[in-house]
Amino acid sequence: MKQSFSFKPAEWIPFRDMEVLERCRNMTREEMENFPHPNPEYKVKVVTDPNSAVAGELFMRLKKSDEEDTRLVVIFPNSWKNIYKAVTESCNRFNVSCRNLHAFCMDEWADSEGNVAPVTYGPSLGGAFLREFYMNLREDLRPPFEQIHVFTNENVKHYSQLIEEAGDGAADLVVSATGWIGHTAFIDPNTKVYGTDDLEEFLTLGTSFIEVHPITVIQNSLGRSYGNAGDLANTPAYAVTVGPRDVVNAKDHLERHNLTFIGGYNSWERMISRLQLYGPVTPKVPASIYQLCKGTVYVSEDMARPITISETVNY
Amino acid sequence: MKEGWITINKLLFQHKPVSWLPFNDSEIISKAREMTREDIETHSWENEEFKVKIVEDVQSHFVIDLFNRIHQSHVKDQKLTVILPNPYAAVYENLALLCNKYEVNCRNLNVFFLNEWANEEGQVAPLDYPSSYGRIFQKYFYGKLNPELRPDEKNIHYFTTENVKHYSDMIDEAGDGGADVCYTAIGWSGRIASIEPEGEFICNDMDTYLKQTSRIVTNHIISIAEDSICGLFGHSGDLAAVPPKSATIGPRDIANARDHIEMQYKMTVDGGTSWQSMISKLMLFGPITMSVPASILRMFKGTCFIDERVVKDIKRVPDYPDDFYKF
Repeated sequence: MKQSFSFKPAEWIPFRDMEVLERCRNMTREEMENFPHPNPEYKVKVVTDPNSAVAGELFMRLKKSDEEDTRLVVIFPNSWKNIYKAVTESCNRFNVSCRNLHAFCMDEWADSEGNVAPVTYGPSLGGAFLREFYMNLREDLRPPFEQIHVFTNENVKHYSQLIEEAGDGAADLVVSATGWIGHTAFIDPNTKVYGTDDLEEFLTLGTSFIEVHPITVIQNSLGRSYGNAGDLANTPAYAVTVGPRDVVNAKDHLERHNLTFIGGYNSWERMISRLQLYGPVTPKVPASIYQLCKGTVYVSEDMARPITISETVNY
Repeated sequence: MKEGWITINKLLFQHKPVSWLPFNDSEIISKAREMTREDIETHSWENEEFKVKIVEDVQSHFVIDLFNRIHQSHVKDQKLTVILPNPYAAVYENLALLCNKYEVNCRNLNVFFLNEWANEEGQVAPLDYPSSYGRIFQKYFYGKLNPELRPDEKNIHYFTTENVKHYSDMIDEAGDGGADVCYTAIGWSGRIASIEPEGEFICNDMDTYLKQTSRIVTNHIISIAEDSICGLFGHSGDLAAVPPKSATIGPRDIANARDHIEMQYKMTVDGGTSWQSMISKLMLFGPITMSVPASILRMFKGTCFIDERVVKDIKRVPDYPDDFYKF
C-alpha cells in the first residue's frame, strides 16, 4: 500500500538510501541471526546478555596468551567498567598472568586545538581503562606498564604504527561497540578526516585527531560521564582515534550491541546496529567495515526487538 | 610512569562548548548548570506571573489542569481555546475517561496543536501517517470521548498543508486574540513547539520575533536526534525515520496565549537520564533569547512544572589528582 506521507531523510544524515534503511529497519530477530553474509568469518549472535559473552571471550584470550606464552595485542574501547572488572577479577581469581598483553585504548577526548585529554580528566577514556582494567589487576599479573598505550599529544600521529609494531602488522583483537552515527572508535562519517566516499582509501586511514559528528556529541551528552543530562556544551566535540586501517587489519574482532537505557526499552543503537550489520560496507557507516573482517558481534535480545511505533510510551 | 603522561597530567583539560550549539556562551551555561533545586525554588523571576513548580508527577498536573479548564468551560458554558502538545496518548486517554465519567461536555472546546510533521517539500503529514501528532490526539481523546460529549469536529484544528500559513490567525480568531492556554514542553535544542533556535524564525530583535506566525520549518539536528528515540519512532535512534521538517505555531501564538503550562518530565523509563535537565536550566537561568526559544515563556503568565528527577544536579565525572595514576 502506498504511504500517504513520504519524505527524504534530513540531508545531514550520512547514509540515506531509503530502500536499504527500510530493509534493515524491518529485519526480524531470526533474519538477523541467519542473514547470509558473504564473509563466513563474520558472525552475528543474538543473546540475552552480550556483556558476559564478551567478558568470557576476553578472559579466554588472556588465559590462552598466558598458557601458551604468546603475545596478545588488543585495541580496547572505554569505558567498559563492568566487563573489565569481571575479566580482571577473574584473572586475579584464577591467577591468569597478563604479562603478554599489549593494550591500546581505541580513542580519547581532545580539545579544538588537538590537545589530548590527560588521564586525570574525569571522563578520560584512557583513564577509565587504567582504573577499570589495569589497576584492577593484581600487581603480579599486570603487564609491564610500557605495554599499556593511551593516546597523548605526542603519540597520536604514530599510534597506528605503535599498534602495528606491537602486533607484527596489526592488533590481534579489536573490542568495540557502535555509535549512534555508525562510528567505531571515533571514526565518524561525513567528517574532514574520514569523510571520503572511497572505501579503499578509507580503509588505509590511520589514527587521527577529529572533530566528531554532532550526533556523536549528542550521544555522549547522555552518558554518565557528563551527568546523563543532555549537557551538550560540556561534552567534547573533538577526539583522537584509531583509524579504519587499525580496525580492518586486526586479526579478530569482538563487538557488542546492547547500549540501551536501563530496562532495555529505549536505545539509540537499535537502528544503527541493523544498518552496520546488514547494510552495505561504506564509509557512511564506518562500523560496517567489520563485515569485511573475522569477528563476532553479540547483539542483545533487546536490541533485536522489532522497531515498531509505541504510541503510549514516549521515552 | 611514561614521561609524556607526566607532562600532560599537569595540564587542566578544558574545552569550549561545541561551536554548532545555538547558544554557546560558556559562562552563562556554566552558571545555569550549577543551579540547584533550591535555587530554582527560591528564585525571583523577572515576571511575577511566571511560576516554577518542582513536582513528583508532572503528567498528573497536566491532566488535572486541562480537565479542570474543560470542566469550567462546561459549567460556565464558556469557550475554551487550547494549544496542545503531542504525543501525550496517556494524558488524552485519561482526559476522555474523566470527561466521560463526570459527563463533562466539551462542546465549547477549540483545539489547536503546537506542531505536526512535514516533508522536505512542505507537505504536512496527514492523520493517517502513523507518527502523526494529530492522530494521537484524535485516537486517544476525540475517539475515546463519548460522542455526545465531543466538540464539533470543526473545532479540532489539525495542521494541514493548506492551513499552515494562516494557522496563527485561526487561533486568534477562535480564541478572541489568542489561546486561553498553551501547553508546551521544551525540546533538547531549546525549542518550543518546532520553533527552533536556528533557521526560519531567527530575526534581528525580540519584538519582531514575537510577531512571527505559523509556518513550515526545518527540524534542528538535535530535535531529530531527540525524536528518533521517542516511541513514535520505535525508541530506536532511527534518524532517517524522522521527517526533516515540521509545521509549527509561531512565537506570536505563544505571546498571545493568556496562560501557559510548560511541562518538563522527559526522561528514560528509569528516570536516570534526561536530556531535558540541562536545557531546562538554561531556559530558566539564561537570557531570554531566540537561541533558546522556550525562554520566551518567562515573559508571560504561566507555570512551569518540572519533575524532580529532571531538576537533578548536573555533574560530570570529577577529575583525578595528578598523582592518582602511580604504578
